[in-house]
Amino acid sequence: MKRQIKPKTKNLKQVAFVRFMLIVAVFVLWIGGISVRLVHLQVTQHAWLKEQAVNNRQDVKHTRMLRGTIFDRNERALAMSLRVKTLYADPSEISDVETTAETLARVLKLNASQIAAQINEGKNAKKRYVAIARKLEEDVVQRINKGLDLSDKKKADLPNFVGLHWREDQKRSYPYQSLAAQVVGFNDAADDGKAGIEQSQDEILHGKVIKKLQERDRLGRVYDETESERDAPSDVVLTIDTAFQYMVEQALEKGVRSSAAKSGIAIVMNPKTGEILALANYPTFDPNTISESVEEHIGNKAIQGVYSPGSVFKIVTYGSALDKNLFLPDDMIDSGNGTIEVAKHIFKDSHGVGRVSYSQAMAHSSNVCAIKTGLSVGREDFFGMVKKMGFGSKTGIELPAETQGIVRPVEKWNGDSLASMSIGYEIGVTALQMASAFATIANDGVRAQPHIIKETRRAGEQPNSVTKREQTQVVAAATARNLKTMLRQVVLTGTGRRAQLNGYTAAGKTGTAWKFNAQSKTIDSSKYVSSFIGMAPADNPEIVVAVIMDEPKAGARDGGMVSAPVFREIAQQILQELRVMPDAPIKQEALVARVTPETPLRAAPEAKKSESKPEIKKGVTPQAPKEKSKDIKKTNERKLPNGSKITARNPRDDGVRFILYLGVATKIET
Amino acid sequence: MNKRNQAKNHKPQAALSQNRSRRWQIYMLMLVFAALLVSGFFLAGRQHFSSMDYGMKNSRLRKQIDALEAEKRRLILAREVSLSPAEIKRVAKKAGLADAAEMPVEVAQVSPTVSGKAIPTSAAPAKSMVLKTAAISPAVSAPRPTAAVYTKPEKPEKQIRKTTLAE
Repeated sequence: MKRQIKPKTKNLKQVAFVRFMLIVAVFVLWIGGISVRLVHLQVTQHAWLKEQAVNNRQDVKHTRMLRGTIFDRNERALAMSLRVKTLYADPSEISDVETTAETLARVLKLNASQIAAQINEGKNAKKRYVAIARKLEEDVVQRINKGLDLSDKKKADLPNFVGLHWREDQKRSYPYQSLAAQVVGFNDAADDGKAGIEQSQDEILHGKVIKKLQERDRLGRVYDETESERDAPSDVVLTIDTAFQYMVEQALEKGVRSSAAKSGIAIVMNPKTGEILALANYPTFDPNTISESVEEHIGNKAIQGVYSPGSVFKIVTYGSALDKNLFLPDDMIDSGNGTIEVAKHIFKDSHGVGRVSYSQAMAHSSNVCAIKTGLSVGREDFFGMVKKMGFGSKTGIELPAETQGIVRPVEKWNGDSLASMSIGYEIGVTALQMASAFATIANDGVRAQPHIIKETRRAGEQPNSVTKREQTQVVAAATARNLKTMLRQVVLTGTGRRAQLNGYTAAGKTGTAWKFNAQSKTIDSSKYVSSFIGMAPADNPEIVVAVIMDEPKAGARDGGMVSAPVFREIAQQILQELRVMPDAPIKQEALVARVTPETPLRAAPEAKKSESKPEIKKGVTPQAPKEKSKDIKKTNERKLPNGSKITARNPRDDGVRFILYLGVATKIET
Repeated sequence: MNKRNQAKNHKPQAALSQNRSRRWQIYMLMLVFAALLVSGFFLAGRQHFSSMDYGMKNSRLRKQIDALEAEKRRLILAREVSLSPAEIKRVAKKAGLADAAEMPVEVAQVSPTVSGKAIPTSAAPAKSMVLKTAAISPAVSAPRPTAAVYTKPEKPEKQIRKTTLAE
């Protein structure tokens, strides 16, 4: 019995062992199979699987940082970028083009067939980006998101519509519109600077592209974000003052309109530092609507336009003679009969001045005296002074496309070139070069490099100040002082009397030059460039103002009549704004005055008939009829949203308008 | 049963009880380790999900910062636009104000140079030239440029008439 049981036990153990081994074998095979598969996947299909995993989980976003801001010297933003979005379609994701186009057309109020055509075109060309609506601001984006929330698919990114996506973009805005437009410049659609500071400082203003690596969960929600190192763009602070710029632009516009000139340029400069406080061109343009602008108005003529300066260039002639100690301002010079012949070319004075002091010769802008002085200086020395004053080379201002002007070397001069150049012909200068030359004289012969950028700065870093520029002594201080005395005479008794200021002394020079006709290659005596460049206060100038009018047509067209009044208007306002102490008696002349009946802006036809013009009698204060005044009261009462009422001070619908103009006006010497 | 057998029988029992207690010890140890493992997994899972949650919150906050910065820029721009001269002019016109520069306003000049005699300020007390010149009609029709003269203070009518004298 014992023998029979023993093998049975053995069998059971064997069976258990076999079964166990079987299970182990199955497990080994299973795990082995999995291992083989894993090795196969991770070794042979590694790259493909990794790509799939990254695509599912990670999202790479490229966004451009906002372009730097351009400020004026008082931190007023002249150009600024805003974050906007562009709606685009990915045609490869869109199956029902018609429905998508119809929905988009309904939300965006566009033409459905046009959108469908755009998407289909993209689909055929296998494009993955078809822009539907560009550069939309946040409120519009939110409205569109609401309108497009039709899809069943729950997306983490809006719009919740298959095949439609937002792309982050930026939009450049110029809040002061046309103010200093030629200085600030503008951008193209790709946000690259195309003119002005936008172009010259594009490298530091340009927003770098940043790469964002976003980790997303299965619902598309971002749970981790890695950003590549940001290199923030810099902001640019200009030396321009928007308040001065506005005054200058207004005065220039008025001057151009009143003289019916083709265009005008005005520059205000601090002679001590070389800072440009205002630089205006008229006509101008609005960089916000660049496509509507006239191409001719976009260029900055103050640095890109070359003209013959005419008599204002006589400061170089007299300056070079004074620097050589050839005369003193009170020495006498004889202009003879007002004509002089040099190399068979007869030069004339507009009116003979006879034997006068050099100061008077300058004051009356005698060509003959200037030519005689220029000839006494000699070619080499005159040319040397022209170059020292900065003509024939760029001023180095931080604006693009600056021209160096036209100054021929002495070897290429004709027999009469020195005489012509002595009175500002046969030479091409820019308005800024001329202003810079006057600033040199104003600054006692020290030339401060003109510049328009005060500083550049990056968030969290020290500003990179560029105000301290190299200053070079160009002419002796005594020469500069003598020249200032002569220029003072121009304003006191000479051709620039209309530039006299109230409360401040001024010095300057008028210039009236015939324009050069490029087609006929001769001087066109019917077209002028009239200019006045001056400084104030005369003894210790705080500002230099250059006003250049191109082709004035109305009235007297000389610089003293056309440009000097503009200088006066600009200098008077800016000196007061700068709180410069007056150095001359203040004439409290116009305490005011005038009652001006004016055609109403919105007068009723009946009122027009009955009260075409109010009768004004001597000694009687003109008043509107009593009944009328009642009407005015009625019409000027306005309700405010909070329920209260206000009465407008200036009646809008009446026939008579009273303007009490309180202010100090300067007496005009005629 | 002899002593030897008794010892034989005793040994397995002691060993068995020893084995049993050791087994329990092993079970307990396994349980502890299993509990540790499970709690480790649990904590790791919690950490993972909370980190994801923080990541999402972080992402939302970043978006919020971007949105607020964009809003700040928009407001700065709006302020600059509203401060721009063109906008001020537009709003002033809308409010019914007229541009003084566009008006045909003539400024009469009150210059002591015409009469050659300037009246001392004490001789012309508290009478405002502004009101007088503004109130008198001839100033309206006077040709430009006009000049006004200081005259004797006791004859204000003449003074007013002279304000219209041409220079």
